[in-house]
Amino acid sequence: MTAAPKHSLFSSRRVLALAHNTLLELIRLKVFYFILLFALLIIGSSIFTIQFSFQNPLQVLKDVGLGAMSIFSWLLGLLCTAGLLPKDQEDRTLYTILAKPVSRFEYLLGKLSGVFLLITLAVLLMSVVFAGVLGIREQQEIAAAMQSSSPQTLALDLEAIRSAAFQANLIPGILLILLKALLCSTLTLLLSTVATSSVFTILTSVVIYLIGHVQGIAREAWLGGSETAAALKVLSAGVSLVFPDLQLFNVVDEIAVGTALPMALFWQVSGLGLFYILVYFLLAQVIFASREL
Amino acid sequence: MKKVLLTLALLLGFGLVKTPLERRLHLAQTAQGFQLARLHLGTRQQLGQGGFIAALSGFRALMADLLWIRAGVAFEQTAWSRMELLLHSATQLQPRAVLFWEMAHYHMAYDAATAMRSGSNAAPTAALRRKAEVAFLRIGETFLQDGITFNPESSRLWERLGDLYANRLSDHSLAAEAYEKAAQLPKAMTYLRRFAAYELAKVPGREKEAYAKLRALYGEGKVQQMPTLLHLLGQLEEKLAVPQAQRAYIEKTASEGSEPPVVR
Amino acid sequence: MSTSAISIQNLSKEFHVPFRREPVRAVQNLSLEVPAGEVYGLLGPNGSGKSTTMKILLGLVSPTAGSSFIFNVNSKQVESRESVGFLPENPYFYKYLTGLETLLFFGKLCGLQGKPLQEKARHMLQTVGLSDAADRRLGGYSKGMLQRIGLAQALIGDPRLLVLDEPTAGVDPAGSHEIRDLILQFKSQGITVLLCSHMLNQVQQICDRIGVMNHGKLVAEGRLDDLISAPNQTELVLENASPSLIEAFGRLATDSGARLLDQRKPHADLERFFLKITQPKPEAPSTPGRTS
Repeated sequence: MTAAPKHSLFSSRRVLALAHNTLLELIRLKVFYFILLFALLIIGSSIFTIQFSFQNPLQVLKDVGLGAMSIFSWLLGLLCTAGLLPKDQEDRTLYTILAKPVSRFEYLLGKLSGVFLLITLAVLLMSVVFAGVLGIREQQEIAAAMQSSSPQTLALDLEAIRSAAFQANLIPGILLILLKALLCSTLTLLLSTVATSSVFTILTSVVIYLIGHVQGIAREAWLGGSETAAALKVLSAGVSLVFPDLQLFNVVDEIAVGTALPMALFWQVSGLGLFYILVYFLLAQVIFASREL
Repeated sequence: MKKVLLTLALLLGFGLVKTPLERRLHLAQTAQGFQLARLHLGTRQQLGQGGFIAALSGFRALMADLLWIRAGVAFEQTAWSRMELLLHSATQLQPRAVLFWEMAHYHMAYDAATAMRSGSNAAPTAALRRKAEVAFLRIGETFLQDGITFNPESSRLWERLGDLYANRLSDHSLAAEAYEKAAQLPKAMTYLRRFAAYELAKVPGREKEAYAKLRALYGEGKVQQMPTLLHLLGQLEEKLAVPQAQRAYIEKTASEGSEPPVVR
Repeated sequence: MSTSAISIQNLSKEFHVPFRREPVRAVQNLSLEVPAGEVYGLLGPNGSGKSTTMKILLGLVSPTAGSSFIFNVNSKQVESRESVGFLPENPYFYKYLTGLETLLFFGKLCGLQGKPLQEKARHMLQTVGLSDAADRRLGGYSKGMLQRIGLAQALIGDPRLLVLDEPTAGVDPAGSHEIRDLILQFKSQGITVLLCSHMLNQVQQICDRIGVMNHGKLVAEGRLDDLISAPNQTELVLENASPSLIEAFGRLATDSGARLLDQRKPHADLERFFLKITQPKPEAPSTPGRTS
C-alpha cells in the first residue's frame, strides 16, 4: 500500500485534462454543429449576393460575414456554457471528478478553458471561410472592373475594390468579436453557478447581452445627464454598475468601412475584456466554492 | 442569503472600478471615430422592433445595409420622401461609411431634385417645382454636412459639397471654401486647389484673391497649368488690368502653344 | 496518531429549505470510525442521511457542525481526496470516451501521466475484466460494464479508501457477483472500503462492520456477527439424517431444557443456483459480450 501522494494546490495538468475533455464533449454536441454550419452557410452563401443598386457587394458581404461571426460566436458560447454544470451534476460526473484531488477552482477553470478553446476554433474557422469568400468575390469584382472600367478610372476602381475586400486591419476587430464571446461565456458560467436550470441561464444571458449593448446609454444618463430624473438616474446607475458595456467591443463595423483602430485602443479594450473575464470567473468561483452539490 | 449579498456587493464594487474605465474607453473610441452610431425613433420605425434590437446588439452594419436596400426599392418607386427617411436612418447607423453619405446626398440633391422639375407628380407651377427642387438640394447639402461632422477627415465629402455649391446651388463662395477645405485633407485630389480658385474667381469682389491663388498655382509648373487655369488667369489679368510685364499667362502660353482642355 | 481511514466526529448537517422555518436535519450528531483495511457497510432507508454523510466525507457538501477526516486529513481539504476513490450511484461518465480514454482522463486528474498512466489504465481494465472492451465507447457498455469501469476509475489513483455507493444497483447477478469478488480482492490488498448498499445479503457477505442510519442518526453499529446472530440459538445442518435421528435430537433438546424451534430442509442459495444455471461451463471458451 502506497502512502498518500503529495498534493499540489494548483495543477495545470489537471486543468488541461478538464479543458481537453470539455472540448471533446462540446464538439460532439448537435447544437455546435448546427450553429457552426449555419454560420458557415450564411457566410458562404453571401458570395452569391446580387449586385444591389447603390451598394458595394463586397461591403454587404463583409457586413453579413462579420455580423454572422459576432452573433454565432456569442450564441455558441452561450449554449455550450449554459449546459456544462447542470449536465455534469445530472450525470453525477461532477461527483466523480470532484471526488478526485481536483479543486472546484481547477474544475471551473478547466471547463471554461474548454469552452474558450471551442469558441476560438469556431471563430478561426469562420474567419477563414469569411476571408476566402471575400477573396473570391474580390477577384470576381476585379475581373468585372477590368472589363467595364475606363482606363482613367480603372486604377481608382481597383483600389476601391481592394480596400473593400479583406484587409489585415479587420483582424483586431475580429479578435474583439472573439473576446466579447468569451466574456459572455464567462458571464453565462457565472449565472449557471447560481441558476438551477439551463433554460433560466440561457434566458438571463440573452437579457444581459441585450442590456449590455445599451449599458453605455445608461452610463451616460447616470454620469452625464444633469436633466435626468432622479429615479431614472438611480436605475441607470444600477444598470451601469452591474452590466458590462458590450458596445465597446463592437468596433469591427467601423473598421470595415475604413476607420483605423489604433493598437493602443485595441490593447485597452482587450485589457478591459480580460479584466471582465477575470472578475466574472472569480465571482463564479466564489459562488461555486460554497455550493452544496 | 449571505452568499447572494456578498456576490452582489462584489459585483457593485467591481462596477465602481470598471465604470470610469468604460467611460474613458468610450470617449477614446468616439475620438477615433468609433461608437458614433445613433439609434433613435426614426431608426426604430424604419427597422421595426426586431431590426432595432438587432441593431442594438451589434448588427448595426447589417441593418444599415438592409435600410440601404430598401432605399433602393424606394428609388425605383420614385418615393423620394420615404427614400430620404431610409437614407437618414442608414447613415445614422453607419456614420463612418463615407460612401453612404455621398450616395445619400447624390440621390437627394441630384436624382430627387431633378425629378421635382418635371414628371407626372411634379408640382403644378414652376415656382412650386423650383421650391421642391431646392428643398431636396438642401436635404442633399444636410447629408453632406452631417457626413462631414462624423468624418471630418474625408476630403471626398468636402469635395462633393463643393460640387453641390458650384453646380446646383450656385454659391461660388461656399464652393470655394469647400474645395479649399477638401484640398487640405489627406488623400485630396490634386485639382481641388484649382477648383477652389476657379470658384473664387466667380465671386464678385474677390477677383484679386482668386488671381493670387491662380498665380501661385501657375507657378507650381505643368502639373497645375491646365487650359482652364491658363484661360482664367488670362481673363483675370485682363479684368484686373495687370501690367503686361507682370502677366504670367500671355508671355508663357504664346511661346509654348495650347494644351488639351481639363477633363473633370 | 489514529489509524482510522475515516473519522467522523459529531457531524451534523442542516438544509434550509425556502419558505420553511425549520431546517431539514439530514445528519444529526453522527460519530463513527472506520479503521484502515476494514470493509464498512453504511446502511439505512432512503432519506436516512447516508448520501449526505458520504458527500460531506468527499467534500461535496459542507457540514453544519462537526468534522470528518480521511486518514487524518480534514475532508474539507482537497488534499484528503488524494487517498480516495469514489463510485457514485448509477454513474454515467462520458459516453463518447472509450473505456481506456475514461481511465486516462481520471488518471490525469489523479496526477498520473505518460507511460505509467497508460500501463496503469490497462492494468485496471484487466483487473475489472474489461480489457476486451477497452476501445469501445462507454455508450455501448452494459450496466455491469459501467459499474466496473466506475470501479476502475475509482482505483486508478491507487486510493487507500474506496467509497462505493450502490455498486451493484441494477446489475445482473453475474455482474454483481463479480463486483462483490472485486471488493473482496480490494480488501485483501488492504484498501479500506465504505460501502453504501440496499443489497443487504451482499453487505452481509462482504462487510466486516456495519452502521445503520435512520433519520440522520446512527441507530446501530458493530460487527455483523454481533448484530445479527441470535445469541442463544444454534443451527445444525445434517446430511442423510433419518427421521428417527431427528426425533432423537428433538427429545435430547427438550430433556436438556432447550427448545427445538424449527426443522426444515435448508434452501440452496438462489444466487448460486442462478449462476450455476446461467454461467458458461468451465471447459467452454468464454465469448466477450455485453453480458460478460
